[in-house]
Amino acid sequence: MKLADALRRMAGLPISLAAVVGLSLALLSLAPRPVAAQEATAEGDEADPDALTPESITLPRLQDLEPPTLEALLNGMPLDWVVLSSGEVVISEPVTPRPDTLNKLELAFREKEKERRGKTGAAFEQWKREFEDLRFLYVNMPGPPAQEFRIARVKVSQIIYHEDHILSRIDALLAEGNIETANELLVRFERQWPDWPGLPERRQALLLTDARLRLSQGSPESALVLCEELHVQNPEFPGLSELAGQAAEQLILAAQMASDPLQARHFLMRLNRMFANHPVFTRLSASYAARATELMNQSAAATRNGDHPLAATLAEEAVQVWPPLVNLRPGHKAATERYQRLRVGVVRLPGSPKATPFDGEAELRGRRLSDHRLFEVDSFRGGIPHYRTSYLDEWEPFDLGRRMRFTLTQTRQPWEAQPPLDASVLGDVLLSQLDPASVDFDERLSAYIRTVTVESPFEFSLTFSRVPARVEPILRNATARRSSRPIEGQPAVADSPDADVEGLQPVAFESTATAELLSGGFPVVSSEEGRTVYRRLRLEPDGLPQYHVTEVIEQLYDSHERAYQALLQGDVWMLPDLPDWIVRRAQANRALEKDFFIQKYSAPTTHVLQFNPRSRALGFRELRRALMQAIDRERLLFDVVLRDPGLLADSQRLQTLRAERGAGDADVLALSASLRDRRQLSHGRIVNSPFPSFSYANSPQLTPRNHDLSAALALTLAVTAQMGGELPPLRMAVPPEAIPQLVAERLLAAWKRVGIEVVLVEPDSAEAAGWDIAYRTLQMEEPIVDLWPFLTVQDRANIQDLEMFPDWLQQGLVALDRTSDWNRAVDQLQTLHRQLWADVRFIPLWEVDGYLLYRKQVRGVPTNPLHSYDRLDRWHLEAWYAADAP
Amino acid sequence: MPPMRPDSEASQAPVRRTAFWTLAALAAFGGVLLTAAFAQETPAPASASAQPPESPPENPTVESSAAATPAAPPQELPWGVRPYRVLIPVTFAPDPALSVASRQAFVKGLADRLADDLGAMWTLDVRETSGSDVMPLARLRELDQSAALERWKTSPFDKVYPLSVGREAGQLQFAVREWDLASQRLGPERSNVCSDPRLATMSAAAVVRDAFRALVQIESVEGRDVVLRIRAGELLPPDVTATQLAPGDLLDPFYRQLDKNKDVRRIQPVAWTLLQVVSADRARVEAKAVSTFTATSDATPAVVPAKRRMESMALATKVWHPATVIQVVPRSNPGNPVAAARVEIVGRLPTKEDPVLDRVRMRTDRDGRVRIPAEDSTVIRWALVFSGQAMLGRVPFCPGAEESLRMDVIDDSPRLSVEAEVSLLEADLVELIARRQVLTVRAQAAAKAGQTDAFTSLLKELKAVPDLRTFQQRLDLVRTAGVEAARGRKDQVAESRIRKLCGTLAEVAATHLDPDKFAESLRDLEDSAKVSGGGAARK
Repeated sequence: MKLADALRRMAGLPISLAAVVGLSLALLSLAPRPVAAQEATAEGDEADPDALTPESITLPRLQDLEPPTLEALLNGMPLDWVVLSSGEVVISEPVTPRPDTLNKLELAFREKEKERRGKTGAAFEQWKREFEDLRFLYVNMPGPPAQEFRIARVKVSQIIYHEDHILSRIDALLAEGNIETANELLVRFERQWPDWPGLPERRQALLLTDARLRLSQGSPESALVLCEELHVQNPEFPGLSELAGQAAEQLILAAQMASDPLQARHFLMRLNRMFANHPVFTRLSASYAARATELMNQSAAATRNGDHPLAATLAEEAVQVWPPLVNLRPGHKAATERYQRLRVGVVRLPGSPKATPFDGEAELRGRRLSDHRLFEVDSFRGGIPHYRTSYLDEWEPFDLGRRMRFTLTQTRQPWEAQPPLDASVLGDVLLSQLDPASVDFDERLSAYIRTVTVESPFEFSLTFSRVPARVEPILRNATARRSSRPIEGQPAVADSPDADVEGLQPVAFESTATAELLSGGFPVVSSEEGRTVYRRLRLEPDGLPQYHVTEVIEQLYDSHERAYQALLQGDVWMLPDLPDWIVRRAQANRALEKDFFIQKYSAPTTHVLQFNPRSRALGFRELRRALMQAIDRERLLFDVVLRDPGLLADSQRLQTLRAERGAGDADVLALSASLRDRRQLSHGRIVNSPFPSFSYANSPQLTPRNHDLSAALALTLAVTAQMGGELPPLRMAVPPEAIPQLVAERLLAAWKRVGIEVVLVEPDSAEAAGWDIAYRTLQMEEPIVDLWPFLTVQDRANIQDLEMFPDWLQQGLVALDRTSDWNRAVDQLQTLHRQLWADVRFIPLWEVDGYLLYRKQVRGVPTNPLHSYDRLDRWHLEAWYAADAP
Repeated sequence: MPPMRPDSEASQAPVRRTAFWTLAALAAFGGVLLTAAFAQETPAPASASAQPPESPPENPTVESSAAATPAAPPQELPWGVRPYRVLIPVTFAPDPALSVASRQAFVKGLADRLADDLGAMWTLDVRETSGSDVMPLARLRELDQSAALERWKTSPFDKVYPLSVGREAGQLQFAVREWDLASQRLGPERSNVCSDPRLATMSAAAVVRDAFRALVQIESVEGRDVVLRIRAGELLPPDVTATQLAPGDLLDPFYRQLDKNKDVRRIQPVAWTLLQVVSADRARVEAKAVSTFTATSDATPAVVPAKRRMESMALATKVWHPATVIQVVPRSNPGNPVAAARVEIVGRLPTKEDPVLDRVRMRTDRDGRVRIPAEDSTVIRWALVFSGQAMLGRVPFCPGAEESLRMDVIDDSPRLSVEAEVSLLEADLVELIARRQVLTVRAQAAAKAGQTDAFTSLLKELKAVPDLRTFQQRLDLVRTAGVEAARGRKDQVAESRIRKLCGTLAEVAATHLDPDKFAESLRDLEDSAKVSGGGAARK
């Protein structure tokens, strides 16, 4: 029975092994009793425990045995082969100790022998028993019942362990190329016997075999990866170097075919990192070096011919081909510092579809490159912008400001990019803006300026019919080429049901009467998929000791993360508009400080929700208030814009605590103070105006307007009743950038909770023709002059655009425009701010500090730049390239 | 009719004619003998007086008598038969085509033509100018009121029409303006061109007639009804198209303040008042006065008839210009015209019964101006100027009669700023009321559902909503600031408007935020919570 049971257990085993095992069991069942019985016999019976020997049993011979099958190895019982000196094999359960059982037993035997000294009596008997035991190898035969036998060690020639069977099987599988099964076996083996001798070798062999297989199957890159892995474990593994070379060479050649030298270099360097001076590396690097040298020679020839753009291009190509070549440095430096290209990583290019009628960040960047304003903001002091100018040496008021004389600069630096102007040109420009028949007519400017007199080629004077509070903001855009068309955009619900809803016309650069006179800067020279190139219109002449940025190439990336990676890899040198969480990550990265600057812009960017003044629905103040009070601005800022979970959690907790315990509670106060400190350190803050929080225009008398769902709901009900019981859906235009889109989703959900339906308009579609609300980002430098066009959603301050507003607001804006005294103007502006806030003419969301991240080789960037290309014409780039492939 | 006297600076022999019709008309009145003479007469000394010029007697005997004894001032003809004394100084542009002979022929022809057309209505003196009298086209255009007054204030002529004749591109060009002595007003330039020299006098005469403005005296006024007498109205012109006035025509009234010597001390126009001719029968005209001063009450007369030292007259007005620009200017702040003000042009004043829905809505520009295009005929329109909800003013005018008009209004900024604050307070009031309602409903729902904590929280929130007292404090602040500002400007109208504005809002607030009603609703809430077993405790 017992034998039958044992046989049944081994039913899965191949017949030969099962038969052998069964036969062994049959034979051994006739064998002497188990050890325990033998021990008992040793105590009470004087029969020789060694009476039963393998010689008395018929056992299979080693040469007759077949190795265990894969199935047996994977799922069967582990069995060892104890090979006797006679060549016969005892198949048993795994013996112990293992591996190297015999040696370990021998060692134990010798150690035991040493223990004999001093033992007497029972101890000696005990010692004797143990000592004798060590002469034998105890084996367990698979049962049931398990039967233990012992074999004199001297009779055992070797033990083929179960593990060794597995390793042999692995070897066989590898030889067959059966990587999966070999790997499976290996994985199991590693799990169970991680330290078995021979395992590392099998692992390595598996890697090599797998690599070889993958290479033969056309996956050289994965083969190379495996080679690298094997190299880490055993650089000297036979065949590795050759295989790595083959894989790398295939990859390099493929990259060459694809004209991707960076990729080719990358694989070549990987090979070199594994095996320095590998023959493949030596051969190919020589060819690359030769190619790079040839390109550099061509670059030098182009330089001699005066074709600096080509020279720079060839030099950049040369260092891409083989940067480790030291000889390339001088040529690269000469060519790229002569014709400097600044590569900038962006996530949107100008001209790409957008739903809003305003300039997005991309358009603003383009405008700043192309336009040169007569006055530019230099800095903010006390919230007041201070201006600088590239055109004027001085401007002096006379007659209590009623007349002003302007003196143009007569010298010009070769790197200056603004158009050269003399007084007559500037006079023409101004006059065209004062002429009602001209397309450049500026109503506001014409209300200020009475006459323009050109007194000399470099002097002109203006007389004012109305003295402005400050001259610079009024004149700053005089030299900027502006669109000839106002911003148009009809609301979804127009004043009358029959009103034509015209197509949304984004502000666009159009040729105006003075456009030719004002050509300069860095206009767009090419715009293709994935990049836009701006080039300095007035190139610097030859022979200068130093040159400056000539081209700006904006490179498009899918996301800010990709752009950030491109910066680290050296593909681009500057990132102008980064989300805050990446900025914080960069600031926390100490290693980044070595190669990059992170500079804060002097003014934050304000995010607002702009209302279309022509929207009939939003003519109801209650609806505007409801929209405002339905959204939790702080939550959106911390959660979506800054992505600061700590701040968000604290803010939420404070709200909850305050509601539960009241504002005077000690914990509430402590948390409030802590949160206040953290808010101050953060890069974003809630604002109550479309201008920066430090601006002089902010009124200190604003009544707080917090997130209040009850109020929002109440107001929604009120306005619904006023509108006849039905609130029409509102349309919202949102820029395509990620943050506004995410914010918009949350806004829509918040508004829906209080019963206000808002839908997003698709960019560049027929639906984009109408909008009621638009998400807008801006930097309002000078609220005194910028507030009016902001409210009317136009680029100029025209009286006719005010007709949508109540009379008090119209007169307030007109009075502000007319005020000559700065302090009074500020008072009026603050009053207007208070009134606009109470009237909810827009919803200010937050302002976010922006940072410019750029490589240290970019020189000349102002300490606190106003925008990403602030004073670009005086930046210069030091030659640099990544010597190592990424 | 006193004999004509030439211009004191005349250097050439004048051409005189005496009209047959004048003799006939004067004979009908009896006692006045007309003498027609072609003799030259000595010029009379210049005088600023508006008295009819004294004429030297033709009879030498009379002269010597005059030298011996002071002559009595000649009696003026009655207004209705008193012809206009008209001088037409003609200035020819230096052009070889305009020879001396052609010029003389032109002058004579023009005089003849006008005499033919107008008959006795005009006593005409047409002469070619020279020396400092010349008035070429450029100078004619530059001529302004004060320069014209300086030039012709002592002229004996009632009307002076400096006529400029030039040639360009083969065409004869005529330009003229009217100087009216009585009103001391210079009319706008009227011009004409003529290609055929044979039609020159006709064209010139047409342009002179076009520049002519009839002069009337205001005889009697009763409410808005005015009776007028046309100067030389009884002297009907031979050309019926030269009739001075017709129904529908407009007249611009003015007063002539005289001193004890009957000299003109001051000429005062009647602002924003027009007389619209209802009927005209020879010299008698009936008209209606349309004035901003009678807009509210017909009992207030817009014009007054002549008094002892005041002559009450009116001058005809026509559509001279393509448009009229009205500039709205605050009286106390003329440097800051009212920009972006809402202006509505209507054909009649709106009333409760007739709100006049067809209006032309306009906005003043940055200089406070609106431009109203002229219409085909003289019509009266009203310009209503608004500031916020209040009307700043309403004035009648004839589009095209004047090139520009200035409308003085009160400085409405104090009231407007109060209107702004009140508007914002209204919004706050709406929000307060809505919040109270929503919180009340939510509290009721919580009480019914037995949600004690929610009820307590909502009740607390409800009690924290600002009450009437808080709201009134804010309103009082706004009212006080506005009233003080208005008083500072001594603007009682603004002050009363501000009080009314704030008062209206205060009433609404008192109605909707009534504390007693609110307290009662709170009690009801708490009671309902107890009934529902909410257990909410009174605070």
